[in-house]
Order: sequence, then C-alpha cells, then structure tokens
Amino acid sequence: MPRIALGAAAAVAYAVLLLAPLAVIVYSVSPGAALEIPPSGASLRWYAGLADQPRLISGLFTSLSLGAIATGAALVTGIPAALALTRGSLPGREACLAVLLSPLSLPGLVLGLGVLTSAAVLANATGIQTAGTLLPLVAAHLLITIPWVVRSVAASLETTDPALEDQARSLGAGPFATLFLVTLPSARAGIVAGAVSAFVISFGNFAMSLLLASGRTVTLPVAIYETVDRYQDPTVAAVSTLTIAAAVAAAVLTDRISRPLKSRGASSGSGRQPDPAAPEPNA
Amino acid sequence: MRGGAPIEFPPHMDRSRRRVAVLLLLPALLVVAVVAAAPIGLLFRVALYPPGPVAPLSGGPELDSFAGLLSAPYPSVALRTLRLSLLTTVLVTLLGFPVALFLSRSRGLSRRIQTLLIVSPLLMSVVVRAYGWMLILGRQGFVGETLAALSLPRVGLLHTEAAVLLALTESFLPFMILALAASLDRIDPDLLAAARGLGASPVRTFFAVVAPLTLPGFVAGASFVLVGSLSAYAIPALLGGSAARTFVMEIYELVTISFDWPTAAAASIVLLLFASALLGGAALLSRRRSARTFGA
Repeated sequence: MPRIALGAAAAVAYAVLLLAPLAVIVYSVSPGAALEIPPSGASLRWYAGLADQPRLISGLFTSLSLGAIATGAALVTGIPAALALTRGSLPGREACLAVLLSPLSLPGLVLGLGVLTSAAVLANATGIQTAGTLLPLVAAHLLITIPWVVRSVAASLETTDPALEDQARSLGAGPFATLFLVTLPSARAGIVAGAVSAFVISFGNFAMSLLLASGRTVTLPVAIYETVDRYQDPTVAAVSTLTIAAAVAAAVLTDRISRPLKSRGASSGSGRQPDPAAPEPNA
Repeated sequence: MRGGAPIEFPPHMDRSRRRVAVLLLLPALLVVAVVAAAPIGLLFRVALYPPGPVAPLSGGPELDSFAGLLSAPYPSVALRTLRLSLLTTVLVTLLGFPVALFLSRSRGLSRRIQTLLIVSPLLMSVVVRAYGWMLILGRQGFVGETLAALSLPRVGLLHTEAAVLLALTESFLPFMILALAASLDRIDPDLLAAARGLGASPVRTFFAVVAPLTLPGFVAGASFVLVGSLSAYAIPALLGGSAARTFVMEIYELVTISFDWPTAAAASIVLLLFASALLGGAALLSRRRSARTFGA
C-alpha cells in the first residue's frame, strides 16, 4: 500500500482516538453549563466548583488510595513472580504466565460479581463483614494490577544479564545481597514502569469496581458514571480532564523510563522490546 | 538476548532453585486462585439455585436458571451483543491494519508520538472516554450544537447502536494496532526484499508474505477485541441505554434491580464459558498455525 494512503488511514485513526478526550477537555472550560458552538469564551470555574462536589472528591480520594494499595500489593506479589518466571527455569512457565495474565481478558463485571458473592458468603459463614471496606476492591484490583507488574518487570529482567548475578555470587555476595544490589536495581526501569501502569489501570478501572463500590468506597470512575448518567455538569468534565492528564503523564513517563531499556536491547541485536506500557493482548 | 553462557548447576542446586521459584510464584498465583477462580466456582454454585429474588438462597441444585436464559429477552440480547462485538472486531481490524503498517514503518520521534497516541487512551478510564462520546453525540452535544449553529436540524446520535459501535471501535482500536504491529515488527525485511526480487508485485507480496505472517497478531488481537466488546458494560450502558441492551447490562440489572442472583450467576457462567472458549480456540489456532509454519 502506498505510504500516503497508510498515513491518511493512520491520521483518521488517531483523530478518532483523540476526539473523546478532546470533547471532555473543551467542555471542562466551557463558560456555562450548556455546550456552545462556537464557544463564547473559556473559564476555569468548573475546576473551582469541584470543591462543592463531595461525591466526586470522595471518589477521587478513594481511587487514589485504592490505586496506591493495589499497586503496592501488586509489587509485593508481582516482582517475586516475575523473578520466578524469568530466573526459575520452571517447566510450566508459559502456563503460569497465562494464568497470571488471564484476568485481563475476562469480563470485569463478572469478576466483580464473583468477588461480591464471595464477600457475602464469607460474611454469612464467619461474620466477617467486608462490605463498605476497601478490601473487596483491593482484592479485585489485584487481579488487574499484578499482570502489569509481572509483564513489565519480566520484560526488564529478560534484557538484563543473569551472568552478572552469577559473578556477584562468585565474588561472595549472598543471595539476598545479590537480589537487592544487582538483580532488582537492574530491573528498576521495569519496576517503575509496571508500578505506574498498575496504578493508572487501577485508578481508571470501572467494570470491576461497579458492583463492589458503595457509600464511602465509591471510586472516581463509578462516581463519574453515576453523575453523567443523570445530568449535564461540566464539573464532571473538569475532574475527568484531570484523569486524562494523569493518563497522558503516565504514558509519557513509562515511555521515558523504558527508553534506555529499549536502546540496550537494540544494541544487542534484538528487535523491538515489548513496551511495558503496551498491553499486548494475550491469547 | 541473555549474554554469557548459561551456567550449569549441579542437580541438587537446580532443584532448590526451582523450589525457591515456586515459592516466589505462589503469592501471585494464590491471588488469582482466591479472587478469580474460587469466586467463579462460587458463581457456578449460585447458578444452581432456583431462579428468582429469594434470599437466603435455598433449594436445588437444578438447572432452571440456565433454562431461563433461553426465554425472552436473553436470546435477542445475546444476539445483539454478539453482532456488536463482531462488527467492532471487523471495524477495528479494517482501521487498525493500515495504522499498524504505518506504525511499523515509522522510526524515531514519529514512532514515539504515535505510540503515545495509541497507549494514552488505554490508560484513561473507559467511563471518561464514553463520557467524551456522550458530549460529542448528544442532542445538546458537539454534533447537535454544530448542526443547530448551521441552522440544520439537530440530530442526536446518543442511545443508538451506532453510537455504541463507534465508541467500542475507538476503545478497542489501540489493542488491535499494538497486536498487529507486534507481528509486523517481527517480519524479516529480507523476506519482503526476496519476494520482490523474485518478481512478486507489492500486492502479491502483501497477500503472500505480510498477511500470513501477521495472522498470529490478528488472531490474538481479534480474540481480545471480541471478548472485550462482549464484556463491555460502560459503553453500551452510557451510549446505548435501553436502545442497545447487551448481555452484561442484563447481568448488572439482574443483580441490582431484580435481585435474581441465580439467573445473574448463570448468565455470568455462560458469558465466561463463551469467552474462555473463544480465547482458548484462538490460542490453539495460533499455536497450530505457528507449528505448521515453522515445522516444529
């Protein structure tokens, strides 16, 4: 296909991808509540008005803390898993990876329903009430944050030289010293990129949170969903614009971090490294 | 990729290395077992109770809640959901293939910017992007107001299947581009040069060399898009509403409005089995395909 035709198709596709976020950003600075074409001006009053929207503010803080907890827990469980998958010479390596990544391709609302049902059964059987706490949400979000950490850290570990670790061992470093002084620092880029992606994915998740969020644990995406469903209000656009900015910042950041990693891979003669920010669909 | 010769460990060291690896893997696998596998098993059990808004659940086990899925409105809703997913997959492929080709031929800054354009939407909440489409397509939205400003009749595209299709296509396009581009990047440029050197036209080269080699990427991307759009909730709920009810919307309302947990669980199980069959079939297909290509 001629390059011009390909370029035109790409331009159309990129325009389609930009349209929805742009609409939100434009509406967020609209002077009035009604959308005007052409716009009569711009104003930041809806951003200031966020302070009067307790549901959105509380959703924002819930999502921030949920994202932080889920990311922390995903790092604690995901980094060891990535180490095992890349350094463990396990026979069922591919199958384990497939199991860990599988929640990304299963229907989120159904997974949420499963967690909700389990929480109800747990409460009936033991009297432990988790409804109204962050626990069910954290558990559910772990399913989608662990895959991002595992994939990103494993990709990073694949490009570092295990011989370095063997040298450290032969020079007298113990297994823990080797792990913390050699292996993990060399996978730093993958760890940071995985953590950023995991946080942003948890922060924006909607399908899994919908059935699990209630009262004080309503997350920002669920609060936005409930608000846009009922009335027109540019404050929602204002808070949405903040999340768009966060997503773009995260994309730029992971691109920056993974850059040195990629050039290192390229110099050793291999092709393109898997982009930690790019969730390659797992078959 | 790994430099240096692999070091041979004595067998007992290899065994202890493997044991440590299993221990390291255990917490992550445990999360999947406790938070995904066990709850899905529980949904199986709940689905075997008699359908209806009864609490606490008792009676059964029986298959009545599954049988209930065969009566209205479920079959027609399932068909609509399937149709929307298939159309989304087709549109995403048609639009994604040229973009992936363009991306895989780009280098340097252009490639970085394109990657950013493709990856950023994936990091935004689907609710925010669906909201953007509501603002664009609504009667009082960008399209409606522009038409009014041009003194043309206002058209509201919100709450139509077309709106759902448009937003689904947008939200799954990045996945397909990335899957296809990953396959395209692995094609050895010498192969293309060889095809052309042997006298194949660019069109012939495309269909004889490029297309077959991108098949694994296509199968992975298409199965992901198919399952993802079958499972979508926010987009059909916000952009389609009652005009385009989908299977997952039914599940949500069975839980939150009818309190009919057995039927909701049965519908969830059906969706899960269907999705797993699609993903498993796709994995098998690409494995057999690559085995045949490389004679392994």
